[in-house]
Amino acid sequence: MITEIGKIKIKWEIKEESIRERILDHYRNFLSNGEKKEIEIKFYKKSFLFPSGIKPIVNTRSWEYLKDRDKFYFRFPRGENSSVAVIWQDFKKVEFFSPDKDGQLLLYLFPELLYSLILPEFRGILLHACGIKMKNRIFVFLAPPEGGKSTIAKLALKKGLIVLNDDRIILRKIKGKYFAFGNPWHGEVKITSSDYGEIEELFFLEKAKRNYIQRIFKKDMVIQIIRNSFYLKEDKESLRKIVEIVLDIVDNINGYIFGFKPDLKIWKYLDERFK
Amino acid sequence: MKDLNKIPKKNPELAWRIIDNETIIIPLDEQTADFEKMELLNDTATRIWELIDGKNNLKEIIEKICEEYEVEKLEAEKEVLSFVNKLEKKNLIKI
Repeated sequence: MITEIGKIKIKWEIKEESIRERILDHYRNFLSNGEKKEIEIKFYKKSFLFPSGIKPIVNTRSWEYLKDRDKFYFRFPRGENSSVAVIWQDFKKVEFFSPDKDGQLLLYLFPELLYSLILPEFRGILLHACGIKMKNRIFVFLAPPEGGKSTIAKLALKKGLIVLNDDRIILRKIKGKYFAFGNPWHGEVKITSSDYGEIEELFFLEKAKRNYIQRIFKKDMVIQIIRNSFYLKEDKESLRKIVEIVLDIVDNINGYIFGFKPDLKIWKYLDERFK
Repeated sequence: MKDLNKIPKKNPELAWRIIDNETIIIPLDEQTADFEKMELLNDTATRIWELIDGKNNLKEIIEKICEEYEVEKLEAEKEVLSFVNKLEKKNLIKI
């Protein structure tokens, strides 16, 4: 089974049929043909004996990030039954060890963390953003949680537009152009799309009593993108890569503050402003 | 008084980019989640920043600013040294 998300092909090797079926269902809109892949993930339904002496760089309630000389690790503590992802430094090989029966971590959380880690290697970034396709044009709206992304997605569905994702958007630079990609890791709106397209601008949402568009200062755009990016903040290497990518985005893409009144008129407003 | 033969060097622990004739500098030496230390340089400052390449000494930077902006040497020296001091205090360059 091969998935293609953000034009990155991942081959999944899972022997457990129930987990494989679940993964197939979850990624059904993101499956790819052929054998070519950038990354291979092998799943083992067993515990992983963790090398001693490695301290977490990032330590949250639900996951930890560690690295040693040649590998990266994500550990998902759950009592004595931790799940562990071992990622080779060239990002081509991943082994995922979990005694869990459901494979839930392979649907959400782990793939999002994996993409946060690998996307900079593919000149990309995972954003807290909502992506909508209207008349073959992709609109990407950035906002923090509760900032209006799901509201925009619901208004898009009412209008019959394509929702790439209401909460996560992959941005990648390919052949000198920036593309936005849908992905399966949605928020409140559970409809996603594997659609993608070139983008020429980013919109930073502000809830308002009327619709307005104004250019955002480049410095503010840098801050806003970084604040709405997924990356391993405590890892200096990761921070450097993300900052370099964000500076490149700001250099190549226009940014606008989009003050919006949440009704269907926003689509006519955007269509007229960005024909 | 600064020794004008000294060569200023950019701190490697930062990311920077010239965008629309202005330079955005982001220090990476600390985990600056709020990016309070981000710097924005105007066009003249951007030119001095470009000239701080680890090869030009202060005297050469002043001479180039004199030529390019057609200003008196004393004025250029005052401008460059004041700017370089500011950058040094903010740990963006080392001299």
